[in-house]
Amino acid sequence: MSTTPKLRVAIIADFAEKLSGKLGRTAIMKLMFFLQELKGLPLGYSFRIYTYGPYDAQVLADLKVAESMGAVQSEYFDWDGGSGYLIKAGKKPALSEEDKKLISSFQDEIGWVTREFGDLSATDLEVESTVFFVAKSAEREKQKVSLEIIARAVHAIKPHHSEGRILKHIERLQQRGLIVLPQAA
Amino acid sequence: MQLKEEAKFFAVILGANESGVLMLEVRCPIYGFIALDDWEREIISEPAFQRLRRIRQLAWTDEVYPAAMHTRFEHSLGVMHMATALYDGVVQRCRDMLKSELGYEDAGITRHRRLVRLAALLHDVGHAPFSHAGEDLMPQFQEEKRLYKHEDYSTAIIRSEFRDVIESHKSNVNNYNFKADEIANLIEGKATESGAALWQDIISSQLDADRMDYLLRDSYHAGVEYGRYDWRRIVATVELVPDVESGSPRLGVSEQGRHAAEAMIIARYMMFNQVYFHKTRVAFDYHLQQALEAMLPGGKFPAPDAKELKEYLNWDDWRVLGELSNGGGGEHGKRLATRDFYRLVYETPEFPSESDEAQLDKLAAALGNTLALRSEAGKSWYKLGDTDLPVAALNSGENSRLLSQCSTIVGNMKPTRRTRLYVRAEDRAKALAEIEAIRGKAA
Repeated sequence: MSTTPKLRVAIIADFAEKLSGKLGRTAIMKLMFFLQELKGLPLGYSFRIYTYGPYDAQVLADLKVAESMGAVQSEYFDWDGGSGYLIKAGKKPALSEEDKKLISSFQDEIGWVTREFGDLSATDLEVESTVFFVAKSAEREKQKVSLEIIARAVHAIKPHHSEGRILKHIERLQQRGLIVLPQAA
Repeated sequence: MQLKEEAKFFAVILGANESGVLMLEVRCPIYGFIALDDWEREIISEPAFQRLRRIRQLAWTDEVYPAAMHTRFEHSLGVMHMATALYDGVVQRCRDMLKSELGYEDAGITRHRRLVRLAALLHDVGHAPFSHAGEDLMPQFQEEKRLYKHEDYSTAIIRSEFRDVIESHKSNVNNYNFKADEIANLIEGKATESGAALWQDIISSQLDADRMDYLLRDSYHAGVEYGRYDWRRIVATVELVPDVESGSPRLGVSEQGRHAAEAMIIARYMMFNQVYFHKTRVAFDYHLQQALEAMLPGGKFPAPDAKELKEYLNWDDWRVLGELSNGGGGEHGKRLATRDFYRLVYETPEFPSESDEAQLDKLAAALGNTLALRSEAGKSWYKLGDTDLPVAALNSGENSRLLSQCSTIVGNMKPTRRTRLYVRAEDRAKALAEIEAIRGKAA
């Protein structure tokens, strides 16, 4: 089973409401990644790994649909050292009865992702989502990996970040119980 | 430096690459010539690659545009050519950054150039007969709770059928030491090997070599102008641009390439509406899918695993056409053979309002069993989707920007959400009358 485009639009609108004033495109991308890959919601995305972390253009296509339906509004901002769209909640999208039930049943997961990752910067979200991507790949390949191996693998994907900085993120995730790494054999 | 440039020049004149290896040149209607070296020639000689000569790029689009009969074979060569041009463009403009910030040395740059070429060349080897049309008949990928996609087949085929020609070729053994998995990983978006993720954008992004080639090629063969844009300008201005929010390097263009990139996005929009989502092509895609379902054992393609992959590779357009010619494919096979396709009776605007959608649902309900097909643009393989990409800062000290922010046209583009209703040809007049009656009442 996979969610409908309208349900995904509603999830984006929900994030925009919960994180009003601090939600950018990178955040939307990575929060949807966490929802699907960590909480197992069947969003139907296929995330690929880039230097900017896990990414599926369909997420931004859904955001475009949300904008065109008025479910969210995007405004471009410049700030010191960067720029980007700030996404705010608009009018609630009309949903089928089935989608209404589904989004209501997803509230725990959406709330959890918002609490755990909603305050992170775009840069931090990129690093932490890449950590999960790498850890999940290792799990899929049934490889036992240590914290240092994960950090090295993330650095190979994101060579513009130091291993030290990446390690700090992995430690944060460990401290919050978000990631459990078995020791390397 | 000067000597190196001269060597390159003479190498090209003599039909060799910059290392002096003699190249085979293949004629291409888009680029003139596409050069291949001995290793690549051996790869394309593999039966699993030659199969692409028997997979049409645009399925039954020739029912609308009669010359659109080209295949995945020429597209794959074209993607390799375009990917190389993009790669070389990035290296030419960002060599210092690659070395100082990302740790590249010349050997690494040469190795990844080859990685990108091979991934681009092989990215489509997993296509089903008639390309995307039958993709919904791929079996369930249990582990990922989704259907398999042609990329899953491509990577499985690379890891099995192409492993030997990749790993054992003397060029690889003596120079690159690639494993087939490294190439497959880049295609499936799981390239965690050192530095490889940097080139993922060339394989899959708004500026990837695949869509840059297919827009030009499909446009050329269909005989339409909509897909044409100034690709040479893009290649001449492509560079690694810091992501506007995070600063991570990603594929973008300089300010000088902005209008060429804008033209490419517009080309995608035009080609979607005029070719890929053409009302008649959509109907033929549906008939083909239904006919394939009737032909395939269990209504599904064999899975991309060790047990079934060989059988999957036996499926190509020739086999399907043979089955159709022998009366296979059930009712829809017959419809394909006699050009008795479903007819469009109603479509929403490109950007339907809530009342447009309500009207559509009402009409669909009223048509009942007469409704033969409901087709949504948002589910098409070619849908416009995201259209943004980064543009480098105009002046030093300024931030990079998104194309949507500096282009009013791209900034205002929305994904098409058109939905269409089709009926059997014999039901068309009755359905149109019914729709007219309902709409008349509503007015």
